[in-house]
Amino acid sequence: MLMNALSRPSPTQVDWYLLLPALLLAAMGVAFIYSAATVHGLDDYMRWYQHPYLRQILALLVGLGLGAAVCLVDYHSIARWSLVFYWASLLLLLIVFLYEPRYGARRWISVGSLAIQPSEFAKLATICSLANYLSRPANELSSPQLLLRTLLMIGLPFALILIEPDLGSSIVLIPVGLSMMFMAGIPRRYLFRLLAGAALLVSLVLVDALYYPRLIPVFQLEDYQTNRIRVYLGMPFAAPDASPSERRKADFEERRFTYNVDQAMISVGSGGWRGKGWCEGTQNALGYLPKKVAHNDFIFSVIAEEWGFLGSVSVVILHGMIILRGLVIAAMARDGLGRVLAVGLTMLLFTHVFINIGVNIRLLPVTGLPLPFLSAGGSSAISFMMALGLLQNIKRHQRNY
Amino acid sequence: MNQRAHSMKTRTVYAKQLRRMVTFAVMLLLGFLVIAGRLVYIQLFLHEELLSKAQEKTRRTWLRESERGQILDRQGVLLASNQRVRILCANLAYIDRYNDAMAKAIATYLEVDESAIRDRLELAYVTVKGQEVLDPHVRLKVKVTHEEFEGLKAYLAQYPFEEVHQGLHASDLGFIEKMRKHAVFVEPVDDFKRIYPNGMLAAHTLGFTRSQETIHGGHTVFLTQGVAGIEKTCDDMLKGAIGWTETERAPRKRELREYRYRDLSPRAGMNVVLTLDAGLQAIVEEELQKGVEQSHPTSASIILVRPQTGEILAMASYPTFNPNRPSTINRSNSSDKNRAISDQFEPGSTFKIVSIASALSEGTSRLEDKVFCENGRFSNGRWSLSDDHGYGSLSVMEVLAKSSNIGTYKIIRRVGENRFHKYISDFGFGSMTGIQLPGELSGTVHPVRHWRDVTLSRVAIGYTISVTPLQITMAMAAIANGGYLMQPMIIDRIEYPDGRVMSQYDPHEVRQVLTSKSTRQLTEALTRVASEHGTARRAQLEDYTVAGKTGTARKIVNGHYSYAKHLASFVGFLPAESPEICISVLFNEPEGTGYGGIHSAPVFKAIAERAANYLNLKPSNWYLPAHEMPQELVLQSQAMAY
Repeated sequence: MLMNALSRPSPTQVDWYLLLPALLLAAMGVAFIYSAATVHGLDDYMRWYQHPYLRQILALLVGLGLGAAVCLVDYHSIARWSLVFYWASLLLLLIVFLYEPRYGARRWISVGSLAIQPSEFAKLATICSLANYLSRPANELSSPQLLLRTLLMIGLPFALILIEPDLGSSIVLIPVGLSMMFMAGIPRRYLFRLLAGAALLVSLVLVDALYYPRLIPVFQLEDYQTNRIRVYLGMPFAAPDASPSERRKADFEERRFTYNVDQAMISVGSGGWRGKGWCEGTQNALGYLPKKVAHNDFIFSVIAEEWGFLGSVSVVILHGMIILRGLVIAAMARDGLGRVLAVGLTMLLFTHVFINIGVNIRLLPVTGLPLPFLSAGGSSAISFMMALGLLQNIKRHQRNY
Repeated sequence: MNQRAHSMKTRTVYAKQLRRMVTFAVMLLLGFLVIAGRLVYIQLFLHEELLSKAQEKTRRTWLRESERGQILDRQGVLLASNQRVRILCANLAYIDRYNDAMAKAIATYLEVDESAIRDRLELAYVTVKGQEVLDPHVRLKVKVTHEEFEGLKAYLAQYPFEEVHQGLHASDLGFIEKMRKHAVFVEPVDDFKRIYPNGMLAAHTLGFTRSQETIHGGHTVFLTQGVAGIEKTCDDMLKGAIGWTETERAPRKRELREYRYRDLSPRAGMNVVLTLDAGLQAIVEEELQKGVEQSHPTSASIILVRPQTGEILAMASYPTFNPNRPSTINRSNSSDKNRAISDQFEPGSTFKIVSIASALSEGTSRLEDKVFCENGRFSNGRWSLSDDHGYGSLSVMEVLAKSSNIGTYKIIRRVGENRFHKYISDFGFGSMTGIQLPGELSGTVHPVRHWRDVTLSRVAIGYTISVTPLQITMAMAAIANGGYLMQPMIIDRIEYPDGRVMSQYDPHEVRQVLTSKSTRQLTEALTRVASEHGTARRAQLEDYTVAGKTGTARKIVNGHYSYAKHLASFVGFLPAESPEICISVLFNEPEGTGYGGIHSAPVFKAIAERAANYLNLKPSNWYLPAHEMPQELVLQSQAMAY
């Protein structure tokens, strides 16, 4: 008991390798949210307290507080309660459907002027409960029944988020789930089959959406999703046998959908080595980067334009440091639960970083995912801070060699 | 043993975990490498290209059209001006499913292509706040005047939409009422439409403009461009300087003032003041129209010049057009063709003035010399020549008055081919007069070395050469002004928009063709033409002595000179003793006999009478033939005329 108490480090012992890069990123995020929103003249229309950068600071502070709180409770206790969080988050994901769609999707729960995006928290809850479920002896992991339940556990939030629709957020669950299953020790043959199955399903959905519209009734991509994929693959929108007026409309759509991606590319590329300077980016200032997304999903473009290669590489390196730290924490975790949980959280961060930057630099088709710690958005800022808190938690209880 | 096995197992588990960790880490590292590589590629290698793209996207030039200069006549009467116009737009929200009927109504009223309007009334979608919405505002037509817009609204107010769509509900009727009121509106822009307040007056001289749609910086800009007449020759001066605003622009046309770095107001164009006199032009056009109704020619032209300066006071062609509506130009009869300068024809007898002038000037004949006219039939075995009426012996003056072909040939035979050709060229035939109007032709005068045996006899009476109406007019003006070929003037001066003179055009004498003595003699002979004894009795005026010459040229039809198709002409000036105006009247293929004395001379007379009154010319009923007049009296009469 005494030993136990002694080996437990004090809660004030902060892992700066984890927190410092995150705080730097958050500071950059606030600065560039300011840049993105100010030059749009958005601040002309809103009170100072409505300004996105202030809301972001507020969200980050709340996130830090919640992260610290998460840090204080032993992650084992959290894991024990994880199923409660899991079902609660699923409930929230259902409540979303009671609201009117915004921007064509039901992703938010509005409370007064606050809009909570439960999918961000559902990801965390799913990771926790998955870690809890998967941290068990190796022989149990090879049972097909367990595999099925694991898949169901991932599948429920996946499906709910997918039909919001929020393809990006739901897709995040797949690499996260697979990496956790892999790290927990689920036999490789299962994982390979899963991968093959997923690949087959994705290609079927794509082929259906692009070539034979609406043959498969269950998995249907929204029109805008199909269009984004067309843009990514460089496919013309107009059908070869389209009538002139249809063709005109299709061409118009094509320009519209190619626009953001092109502008993001131009933003990133025109920055060069050192960039045009903070608040000096023309792409951003003149609104070529769409106002709606410049400060959240396309914040990376703004940074790359205004701070150039040095800025964008700093972002990548800082995220790399956090993710590396996450891997180290996973490797040094006290037990399987800590390890699988840390890997899940690290993978969550990595997937967000990879997809978001990938969209900005045209590696991937457009899908709206926030860049951790940088993008404007309260729910994601809070949930990523909580993820950091969980990692810190695992670090606190790690083995002492 | 157990512990050892346990530790072994633990170790293998650790090894497995380590392997998994490493695999996982390597995968993530690969992801980061891909991103880093792509960043290097885009930000460092594609930098230049994408930077230029970013600038090209944001830097934009907006043209602002200048107000086109006005065209005025010599008295300051507006001939061409501008009207502020708007862009006609439709609000689709008010049209809904009646777009077919609406397109028909609008197209009918504006007289434009219906399918084009219908296409524009088709629904267009834009994205606002991430949601596709109908873009309700579409542009239908640019350069719509206030009157046209009001007219269209009035037209729509009574258009029977109810009948097009049968069986409508009461709510539909309410909708239609709203549609009539609100479906069309105008967008206020700085734009101008060219208008010609006097309609068809001087249409061929003024020309017309076209609004050319050019794409500039990805935006459609309508620039007015002169395509005919003065509008074309003076386009550079009239159009002024286009202004522009160069800005870094946000999409959706939001201009950021702080990013604006070049702004230049458009400068209005210069005004062009013509030598034309709108009053005379109106007289000429009225009489031309009357003549056309009488004679039914296929085409006609009239020129009125001031012989001393070469200023063109009026110039008209038939068929004509309305420059306000260039779309109504009839292509089949080239109604936009300025026939006064761009029709070439064999002049026939009118050209005899040149023949007689050269003989008088060279001294090979005198006015009173007798010429035997062979009683109307002349043949030298190789070719023949005939007159309409047979004459015996005529004086040179009578040859001209009766327009005898045989007499003219005999007179010119003594001048000789080379000297005659020199006079033809000196009179300006075969080369352009240099009038500042587009489309002038030079006519054809073959060089003497190409002339055959018969050619001299044909050229002498105005065949085997071709001339333009303006050339023959200027030749007659040279006879009227004492022998000087003047360059025809159409532009008097160019003015700044505020009325200050920028440049003044002065009369330009091309060369002296005849001595003043020979012109006096010739003038006297020409007064006989317009007398009871001449071919142009119908050109005589009560108060003024007219000098002139008729022409009745047979036209070539299918390679042969026709007996049915003629070119009837009369060129003359008045008052003969001190000429103030020189008028040519030309009817192409008039109905009937085709004599210049019958078709053209009366029109000349009508114009001359009204023009003389308009200009308040001194009557010459006290006139004595010039050679009988005492020298001091001649000088006095000339002085009074000025």
